[in-house]
Amino acid sequence: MTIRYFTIISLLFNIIVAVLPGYWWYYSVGNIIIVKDSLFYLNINLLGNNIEIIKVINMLLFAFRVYVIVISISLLISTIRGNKVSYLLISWASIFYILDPIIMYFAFNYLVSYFIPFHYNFFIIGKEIATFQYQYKITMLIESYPSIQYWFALFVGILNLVSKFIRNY
Amino acid sequence: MKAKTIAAILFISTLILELYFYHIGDILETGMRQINNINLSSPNMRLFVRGSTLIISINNTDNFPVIIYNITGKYNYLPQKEVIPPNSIENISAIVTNATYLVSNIRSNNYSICIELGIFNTNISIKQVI
Repeated sequence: MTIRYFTIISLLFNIIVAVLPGYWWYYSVGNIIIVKDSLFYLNINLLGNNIEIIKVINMLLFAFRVYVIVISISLLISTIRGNKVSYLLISWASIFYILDPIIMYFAFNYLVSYFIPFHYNFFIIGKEIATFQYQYKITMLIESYPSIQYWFALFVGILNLVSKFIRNY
Repeated sequence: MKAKTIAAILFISTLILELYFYHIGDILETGMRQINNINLSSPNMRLFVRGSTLIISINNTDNFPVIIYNITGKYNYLPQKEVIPPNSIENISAIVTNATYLVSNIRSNNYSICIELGIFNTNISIKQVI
C-alpha cells in the first residue's frame, strides 16, 4: 500500500484554510465603506460601524466551514485507508476568487452608488484616488487588496489541484 | 456519497444551533434598526467676528470625528487643522488678515469661503457664499 503524502498534506491544508478566521480580500471606499470577505467570512463596515445584519450571512458561512471540514476529514480518512480522493472546492474557490474585485466593482458602482453618488473605477489590486463632483468636490482613496490568507488559500488550492493529477502521491 | 450526507446533516444542525444560540430575532431587529438609523448629515456651522478673529462654531452631529483641514476665504485662513470629536460642538478661530473688509463683505452677503474637511479617508471641499 502506498501512502499518498501529497494528497494527505493538501487535505490537511484544506482543513486549515477552512478553520482560519480572517478575510481574503479587503476593499475600502475612502474608509467610509470597508468590505472584508472570504469564502467563509464577510464583514461590511459603514461609517465606522460593522453592519450587524451580516451576522446572519456569517452564520451560514460558519456552517459551510463545518461542511468543508467534515468532507475534508472523511476524504482524508479514505485516502489514508488507500482510496485516494481529491477535494477541489478550495481549489476552484481560491482560483475564481480573483474575480471577486469584479463583483465588488458591480456592487459598488451600481448598488452603492444608488445611495451615495460616486464612481468606482475598475481595477483589481492596488489603490487609487478618486475625485468626483457632487454638490461638493469629493476626493477619496479607494483600495482593493488580497490578504496573505488569500495567497495561502490559493497555494492550498493549487496543491489540491496538483494532487488530483499526480496518481501515486 | 456517505460523507456528503453526514456533512450536509452537520451543516444544517450547525446552522440551527447558531440560530438558536445567537438569538436570530435579536440580530435581525438590531440589524434593521441600525440600517434605518444610518444617516450622514453635514456639520452645522455658525460664524462670529470678534475683534480681529473669525470664530466658526461647528456642530458635528455624526458619530465619527470630522477633521477641518482649512477654512479659507479672501481675508481669512486657519492656522492649523482641527479635529471635531463625534457629537460635539467646537469653536474654531480663524486668522483674519483684514477685519474691515471681512466684516463689510459678510454684511453684504458677498464673502465666499472654501471649507476642506475630512471624514475617514475621504476629503470633501465645500464652497459657500456667506
